[in-house]
Amino acid sequence: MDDLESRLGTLLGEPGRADPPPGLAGRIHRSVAVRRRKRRAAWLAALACQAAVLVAAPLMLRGGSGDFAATVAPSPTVTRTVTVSPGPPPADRPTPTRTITPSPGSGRNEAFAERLRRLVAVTGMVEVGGRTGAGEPFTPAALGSDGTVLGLTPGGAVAETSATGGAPEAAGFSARSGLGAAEGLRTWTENGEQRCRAADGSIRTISPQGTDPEAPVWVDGGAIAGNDPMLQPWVAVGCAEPGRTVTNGRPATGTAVAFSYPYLFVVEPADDRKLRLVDVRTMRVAAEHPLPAGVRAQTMGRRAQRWQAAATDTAFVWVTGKTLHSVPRDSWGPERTSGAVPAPGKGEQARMTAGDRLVAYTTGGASIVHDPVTGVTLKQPGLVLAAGPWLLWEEGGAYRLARVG
Amino acid sequence: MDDPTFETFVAQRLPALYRYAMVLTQNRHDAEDLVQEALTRTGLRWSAVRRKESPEGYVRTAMIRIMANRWRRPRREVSVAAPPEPAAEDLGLERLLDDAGVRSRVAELPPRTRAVLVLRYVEERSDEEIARLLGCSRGSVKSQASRGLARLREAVRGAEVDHG
Repeated sequence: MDDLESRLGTLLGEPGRADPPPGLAGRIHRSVAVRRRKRRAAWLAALACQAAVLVAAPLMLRGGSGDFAATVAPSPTVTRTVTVSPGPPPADRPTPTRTITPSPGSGRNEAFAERLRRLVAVTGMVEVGGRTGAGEPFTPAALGSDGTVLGLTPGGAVAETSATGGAPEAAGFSARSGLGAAEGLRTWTENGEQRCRAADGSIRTISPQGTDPEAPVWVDGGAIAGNDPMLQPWVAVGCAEPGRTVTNGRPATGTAVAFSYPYLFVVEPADDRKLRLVDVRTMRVAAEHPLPAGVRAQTMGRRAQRWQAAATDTAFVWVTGKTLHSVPRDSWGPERTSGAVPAPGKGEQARMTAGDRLVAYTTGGASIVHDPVTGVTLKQPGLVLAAGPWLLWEEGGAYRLARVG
Repeated sequence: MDDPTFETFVAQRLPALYRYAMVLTQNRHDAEDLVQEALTRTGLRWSAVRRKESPEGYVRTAMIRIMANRWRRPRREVSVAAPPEPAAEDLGLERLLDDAGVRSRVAELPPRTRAVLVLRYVEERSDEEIARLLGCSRGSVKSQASRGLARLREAVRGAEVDHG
């Protein structure tokens, strides 16, 4: 240790003799109160928006006024396919995707099912009620890889249906965020902790040091992943024991943005400026890539960028601005892009979910379904969620759940 | 004993936490913002934090991580090392100016590097502990510390040249 190092402790510690300014404690308490109010307001706005969509969409389909009604064709027509680029793109440019826009005939939902059938094999379809068995409005919030649909009622009670559809019934717990399901497993965020209910009914806390109620929680391959309030990723294997913080002494820093078992996609935009795939079985970095296109490095004085991502078995898909990007996971190139994803309306928050093959991007009021295999994107009004071999989409006042492959 | 309320915790521990934030940021404005952000996050999940063995340790760790990972605000002011007209030769004064030079360079270091130096030289934590706290490898801690020290040594050398 040289002279500088021996002086550093004193030099660095000198400012530690200052006293806090008067009024700082008050500012802190006000800040806590404001953020609590904002969270409540965001939650209520999201619920109100969902309720408005549930009420407005059927009215407009019946010929009411509004922009959406104008897109309903008066006579039966087939779905129109628009090819963005007729030839191969230049080698140094991303490959544009094809977008199939909804031009429904007798009913937009049949048209969506039909368009979906042209894209992938649909081997089963059931209806999920837009109201619970007790008659309360039901808004799906999570789709499990076993076809379980978990959703919220206005009072915050969670309701669920299985892959056989029907009217959702009470799931036995309340939550506002962080919902996830898999066979024999239900998980949700409660008082800042991630709770998990096993098949035997036992409930445990699985988040090692809390979970961010505003960040997504992923369930795949029996593992549950999320971010804690410090935006550090954590992973739990089932409900049996608490999860582990991914960055806890292991060579991976950043925030989780997507999960496709066994790989957690972690982005560190400030220092390392990397996207890493962390194998949650070993907690080791399995691959490392530059920041995805459109994701900017976080620098001093700039607000953190909001963007969404999801991963299928074969592709990593993300949305920055209005552009959807997709890249194969094996070769990590070439990248495809697709323009004009729906913009979130007031009180809406965009989110992405991924199944084995398809990716859904939704604002709640409008959605797109992207197939990274073919590059085709389907637009659809209302909510769409994907998980495992399942796709759930809104159909008037109810929902359709299809098994796709 | 009953768990303290968040208000009690803030009233009792704010001075210590603020001083810690000052050490981390070397700047009272950023220290206020840092301690406010860390305590706001803590307050939002106080019911869980208060049950922890050391809520204060939780807040300190939060501050380190916010500082290292997310603290990207531009500094509002930078102290300068030397007065415009250095006084006549005085060994004690030269040492003070050297220290001022190092201090101003410390304030200019990237937040993550500064956090590493504070944890290593103020808290005397091992590189392994620092790596665990910051969520990075021990090699990364060593390289951050090495880069930080190199910049500070430049400041010392510069001061030596300036003052003969």
